[in-house]
Amino acid sequence: MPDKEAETPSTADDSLVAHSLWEAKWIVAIWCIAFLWVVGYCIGFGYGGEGQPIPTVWGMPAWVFWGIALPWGVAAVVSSWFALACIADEPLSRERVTGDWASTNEADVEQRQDG
Amino acid sequence: MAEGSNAALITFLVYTAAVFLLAMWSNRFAKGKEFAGEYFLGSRSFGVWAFALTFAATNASGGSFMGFPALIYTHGWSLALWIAGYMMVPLVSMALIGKRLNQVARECDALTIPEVLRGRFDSPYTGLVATTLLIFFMFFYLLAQFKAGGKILSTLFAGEPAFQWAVAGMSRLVADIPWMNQAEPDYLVCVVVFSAAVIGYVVYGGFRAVVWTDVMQGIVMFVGVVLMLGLALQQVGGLGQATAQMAEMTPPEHGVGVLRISSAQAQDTTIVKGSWVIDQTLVARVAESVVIPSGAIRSRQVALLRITTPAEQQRLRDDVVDGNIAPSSVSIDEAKWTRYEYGADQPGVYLTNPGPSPTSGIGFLSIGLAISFFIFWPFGATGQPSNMIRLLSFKDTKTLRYSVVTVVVYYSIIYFSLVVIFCCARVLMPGMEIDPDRTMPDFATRLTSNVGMPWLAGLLVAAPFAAVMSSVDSFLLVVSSAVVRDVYQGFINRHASQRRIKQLSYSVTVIVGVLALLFVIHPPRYLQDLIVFATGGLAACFLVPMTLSLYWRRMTAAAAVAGMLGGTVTHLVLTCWGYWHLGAFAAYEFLGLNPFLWDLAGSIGACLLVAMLGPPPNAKLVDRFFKAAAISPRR
Repeated sequence: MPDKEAETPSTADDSLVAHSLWEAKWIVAIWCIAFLWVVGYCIGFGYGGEGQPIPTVWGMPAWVFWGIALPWGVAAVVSSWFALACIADEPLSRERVTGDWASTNEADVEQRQDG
Repeated sequence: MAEGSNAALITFLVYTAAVFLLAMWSNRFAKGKEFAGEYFLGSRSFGVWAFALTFAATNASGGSFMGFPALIYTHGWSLALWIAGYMMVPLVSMALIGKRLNQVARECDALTIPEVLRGRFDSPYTGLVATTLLIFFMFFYLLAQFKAGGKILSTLFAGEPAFQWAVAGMSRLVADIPWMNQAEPDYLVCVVVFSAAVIGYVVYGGFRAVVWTDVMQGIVMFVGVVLMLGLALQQVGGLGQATAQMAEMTPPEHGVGVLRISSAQAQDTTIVKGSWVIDQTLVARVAESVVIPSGAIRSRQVALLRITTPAEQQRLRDDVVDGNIAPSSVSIDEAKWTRYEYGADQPGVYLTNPGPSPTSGIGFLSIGLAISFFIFWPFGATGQPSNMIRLLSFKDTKTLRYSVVTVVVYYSIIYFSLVVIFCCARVLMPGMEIDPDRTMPDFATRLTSNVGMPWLAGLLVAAPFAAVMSSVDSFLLVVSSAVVRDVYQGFINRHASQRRIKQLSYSVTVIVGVLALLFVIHPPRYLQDLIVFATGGLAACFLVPMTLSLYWRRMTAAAAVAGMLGGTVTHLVLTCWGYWHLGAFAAYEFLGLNPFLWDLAGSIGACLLVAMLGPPPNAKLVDRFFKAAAISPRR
């Protein structure tokens, strides 16, 4: 005689959906920070100045270093950290429930009980 | 030059042989596996290196290695801001939807992007709309890349005797064939060779061949860029030196004039494209080859480029760095010069934004465009079906996570290095404004010749070739999978046999490739604009509907269709407006913003409106895709 395990539709949300949504929100937040830094700095310090001496850092215009090269390095570190430490590892294949959920499972239960 | 061309030919042949070997290996690997899953998705089995490099290489197309260097050379350091959005491309385009898309695709047993949408909403017509729009935009993209491949090869082989022989043969072959006999024979040879190679290995090897050739191509691109960076910095004397010299530069002037020789000759006098005409008052470069017939002393009107920076003029008087010097008897008459619309006579314009522009009074990169591109690069990449299809292929989440790190490092090194390399090219190789697309191959040849390693030029020039191939093979497979899987299997013959699917897959890939080849025999003038049109259109069409389908329970089939059509229609309207307003095939930049932003707005608006006003989605579908898997009974 088979164990009588209760057959109830799952009401819990798929954890992968919840995790992915949380990760997506943080990815957009990181992008926003990068956007504000890069675009904000470059608009403030990277436009105009033709005909005047342009300061340089490590051989490149200073606005390129502070407004693009440095944030690029930071973005690389943050992206890598986020990917390695914050994105959850979880199974990608879900258990299949084909057709109408209730009837499939009722049939399934009857078949196992008969079998 | 001949030695360099020989090296380039040898490199190309070795490279193509390696590509075909990979295709053969992939074909053997596929035996015994379910055909469609293996041919279109490699059985979802790829690990970190394969997944990371196929993703990176597919994104880095011919534009990255031909168009981008040309832009850097022409506009200077402002290209660093233009490309800066790439710092977020790996994290956004791979991790924003990657995990969830892979899960939903497995749940639907989907091998293509339209199939994901069809399965998510249990709606064949949503899939059909997606397929139609995908094929429409991807075909334009394919045309542009085929042309780029042909152009790169014609640059690679110029001067090679075997190539000249093939060109002569092609001229004779097509002399009596209408349409084909009007194409340039050297370009025709190259585009046929390129198409045959790509179609061959894609047909034979499928997705697995595409991925493994992407791995090889990704390595070639990376090695090529790193080598060029080292050579460029060494030869210019350091980045500081390059920047200091760029600080003195003022933009050149384009013009037209007549070339005159001091006395008539008994034979024709040929002045090849790229020749320098130098005297005490003028340093100019000939932008097109011209012949002064025997007995004459003047040529027809030709395009010219005048160097305006005094220090550059003096360096060229002392030592011409690239190209020939026209005979000292040649001078320029009746010249009319056109100054740059922005940056003319302004030292330092190459070091700052918006950068010089020959055609725009507000410079190359306005503030609105800078904002737009930082949004476009990462989110546009997320919406590309060729990227999304790769997100279906990784085998587990660990692969995704480590691949993000790999692509972060890859793009950081490649893209910023390209900016540095081609700023150095501006200093070392003046006058490339006559043909900016040649900047990459010509600079590679120059750098390697200067260190006595001309054979290395073949490897370096293989980098843009690899970039184009890695994009073309992906696009070709995306289009053929859409036709076979989404149209044929979806609507015509759902229970087609493996053999039938195999035959169709091979046939459709060949047909699509041949059609693309025929369309680019006479490449449309605005092909680069077509790339922008196709890229923007694909992102506008798929980004919002797919993202909302993955994460929003309230999303419906009708809203997905509305979102796809909303983005597409907005994109088409702005393109037509741009054509009417500018007379060129380019979307109108409403309020100075990249059209992509408006396309997204159109797509989001349509999705939300239809979803909120229409009936709610099927509850069973919502449970299937958003609830945890059901508990099965145990014995």
